[in-house]
Amino acid sequence: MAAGDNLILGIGVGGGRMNRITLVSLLIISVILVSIIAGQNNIITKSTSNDRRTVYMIVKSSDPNNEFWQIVRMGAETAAKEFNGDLVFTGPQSETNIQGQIDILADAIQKKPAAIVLAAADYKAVTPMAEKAVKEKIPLITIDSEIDSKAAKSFIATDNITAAEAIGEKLAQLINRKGKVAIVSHIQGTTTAMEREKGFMNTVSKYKDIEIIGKFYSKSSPEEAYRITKQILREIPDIAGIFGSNQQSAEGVARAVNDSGMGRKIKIVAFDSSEEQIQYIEKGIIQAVAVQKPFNMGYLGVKTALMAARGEKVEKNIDTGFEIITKENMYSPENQKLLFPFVER
Amino acid sequence: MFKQNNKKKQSRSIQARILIYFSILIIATVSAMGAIFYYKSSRTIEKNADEYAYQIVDQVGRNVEYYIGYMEDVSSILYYNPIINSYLMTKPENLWNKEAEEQKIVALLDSIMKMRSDIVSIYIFGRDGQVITNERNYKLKEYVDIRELSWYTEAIKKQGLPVVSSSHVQNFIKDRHNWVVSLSRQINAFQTQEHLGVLLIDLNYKAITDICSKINLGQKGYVFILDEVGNIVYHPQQQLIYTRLKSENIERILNTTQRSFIDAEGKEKKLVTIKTLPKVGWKIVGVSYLDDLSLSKDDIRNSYIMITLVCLLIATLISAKIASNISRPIKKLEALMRRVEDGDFDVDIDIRSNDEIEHLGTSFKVMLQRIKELMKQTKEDQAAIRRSELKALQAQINPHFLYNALDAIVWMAESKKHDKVVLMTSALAKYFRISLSKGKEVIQVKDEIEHIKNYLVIQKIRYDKKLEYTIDVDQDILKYDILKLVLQPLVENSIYHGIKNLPGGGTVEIVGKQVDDKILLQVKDNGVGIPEERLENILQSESEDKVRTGGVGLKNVHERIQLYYGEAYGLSIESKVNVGTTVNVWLPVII
Repeated sequence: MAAGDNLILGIGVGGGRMNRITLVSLLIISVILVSIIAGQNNIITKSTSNDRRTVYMIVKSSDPNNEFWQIVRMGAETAAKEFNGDLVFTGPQSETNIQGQIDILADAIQKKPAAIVLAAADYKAVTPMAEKAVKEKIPLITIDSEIDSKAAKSFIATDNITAAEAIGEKLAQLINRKGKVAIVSHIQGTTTAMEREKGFMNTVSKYKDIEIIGKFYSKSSPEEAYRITKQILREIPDIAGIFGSNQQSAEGVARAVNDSGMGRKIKIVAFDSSEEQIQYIEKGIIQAVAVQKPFNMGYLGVKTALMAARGEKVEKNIDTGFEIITKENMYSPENQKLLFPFVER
Repeated sequence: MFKQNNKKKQSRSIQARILIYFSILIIATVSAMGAIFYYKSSRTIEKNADEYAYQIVDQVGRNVEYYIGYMEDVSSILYYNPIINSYLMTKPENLWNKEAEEQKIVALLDSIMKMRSDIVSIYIFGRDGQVITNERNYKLKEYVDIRELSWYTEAIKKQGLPVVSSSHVQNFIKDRHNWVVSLSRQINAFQTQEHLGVLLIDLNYKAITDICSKINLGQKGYVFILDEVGNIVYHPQQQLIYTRLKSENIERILNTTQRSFIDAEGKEKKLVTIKTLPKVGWKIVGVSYLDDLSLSKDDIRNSYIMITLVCLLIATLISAKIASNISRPIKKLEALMRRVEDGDFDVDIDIRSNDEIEHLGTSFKVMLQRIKELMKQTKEDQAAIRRSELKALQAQINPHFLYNALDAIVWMAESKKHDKVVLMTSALAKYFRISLSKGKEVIQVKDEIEHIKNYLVIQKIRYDKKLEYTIDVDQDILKYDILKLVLQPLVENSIYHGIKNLPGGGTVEIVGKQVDDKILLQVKDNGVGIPEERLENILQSESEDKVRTGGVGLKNVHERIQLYYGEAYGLSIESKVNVGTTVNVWLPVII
């Protein structure tokens, strides 16, 4: 009886011991394996982060004389260096060459880059090709101008409405919240024009003593803006303020006001900051401009594209911000860098 | 129960324990070593990185200083130029050869400009509104008052010492917005030290950006320049800083006295190396990303991890091997012991490991040998006991005795001694009943005495006047257990060898009492006695006098008692020839 007991017990204990040894060795082996895998994982992630990824940035104009896009390029190059990417900066020579941009986009899709950053030359025309890129599993980031699709992972641009609201507020203060104002916008129906008009109206219409006498379209021509402004000055001599919605409109407005010698009486606010506009700011003809941040647009475009390429989550909408520039603050270190981004000239 | 507890205690096998302890030891040692080596080598890398970054920053600093020094030299040439001095001294309306003087000065400026392409422009502004410059094609902005510009006011403040501005856009020239670093200096009259005007030399900012932008500190690292108060002179990502997409720890850079520090505020650790230019107070700052710079540091860490793992693997295998080496003989011994436990005493214990386990095995082997011997001994003893018992029994049912007793009964019946027949028969019956005692080996003293009484009754009838007997036993010992049939052979011996041959017969005396912790039973006779030389041999003698003792002798009784109770007990005999014999039976007190 006792012997039998012992026998059973012996087997039981023996089995347990075997299991325990196996368990311990399994544990050790698994720990080692896990560490190795973790280590290699580390190496893998390391190597992928070292893997340089190519990002195509396709803008509206690759013309080296087009300041705006060249600044975008500077930002893009900075981001590419910082986040280990290879940047291909391209685009048609002229902003109006929409088909040219579509062809370049098609070409880029064939090269299968890690991501594409697109500043669409046209809201609708570029959309099908942009959607094709997404179908090919290439992450698409849009900057500056949107496309007629939700295909883009992120849209990075100046919030035109907010900027126009701010510049509208600036004008309202300049004319002591009363008087007649005119809007010299650029191209009727374009997104930027509509947004800027809307933002401007949002604030100005809050003041009951301010009367908006009309919206005029310069068709992005300084001469047309000049002509319109002259007419306004003639017909409405007590005009208090004018809003020029882009560079060309602003230049024409400022020229006309300057020529008419009514500079001290009429306040001008505008978008953008060309050399001519800057001179008018210095002269006190233009009181304030809202300036976009193309450098940020390029930088954030490439940064976001590389994040998307790595499978990281990116924000759907990124506002690159704007700055209100006046004569007083234009040579502050921050703003002179914004207004005069190029060192080379 | 006890055994089970034991099993639970050793439930972790030695092998497993050795393995665990070894593993812990190895992991601790190897990881500690790895950590130390990793720490040491990463320190070295950091130190190298620090040194490298400092050299770079130092080099950049030298180059920048060279440019500024050069501008100062140029400023000195103009500052100490007598033509310029006298030109500015005289009011323009009083200067009869104004054009010619200006030409001379412009020619000087031109020659300087030709020497250096990195100077953008040189302007001399007189206190009376004179402007002399090499820039013939450009006009000043009429709406800008140069006396309000910071390079002008700073120069006035310093009263003749050169002032170097931060990088900025030069904004007083029409249609031109050059990025420059300006050196301005108030020009004083040689004799009177009175203020004559301000000299402005604009160095192309590109000269400085070119020095810095080409510098690579690792893949992502860069160099930037701060002026005395912390304004950015140059930064590759200036725009990002102004829009707060990026930030530099400028406060710490301005306040630190160390040449480098680790900035761990952002996502990535940065090594910030600072070189202050004594002349202008600018700080050249190198930023190296630690993970970038010491990419090799990661490699080192990875290889340390790999080495550690390989060591660990090998060490684990070795320790497993050692553990099994140590535990194998133990396990073998354990298995053998278990077989012994299960009753197999014939196992061959052959453990060769040249250590304590082997000694243990050998000891166990010796022990097993002893156990086997003891078991054999016990078996033999048991057999002897049975044999002696058998002999004792044989003595009880000695046919001679029975025959004689029956013969006596017959004889008494014939002589019509009925009461004696009854007495004899009843004694004989009792005698045999106790002899058999239902096969029990041990009976109470009371029964043993009763038995010997019956025997003596029978013998008394046989020997009549020749045999007398007395029984004197303490009442106290009657209840004790003793080996049965101890006394009968002794009494028989006394009768046959002591009394029978005495002409006048004799007396047998039975005495029983307790002496200390022993029972002493005595059988005394006053017979012929035993000669001394025989007395010695009676209990030892091998050759038993079977004929004389009727088969069961004193020796058998002695042996029986000793086998049963041990060496401390048994018989002792005292005898004197012609006086008598006393046989002492020593027995243990057992209830």
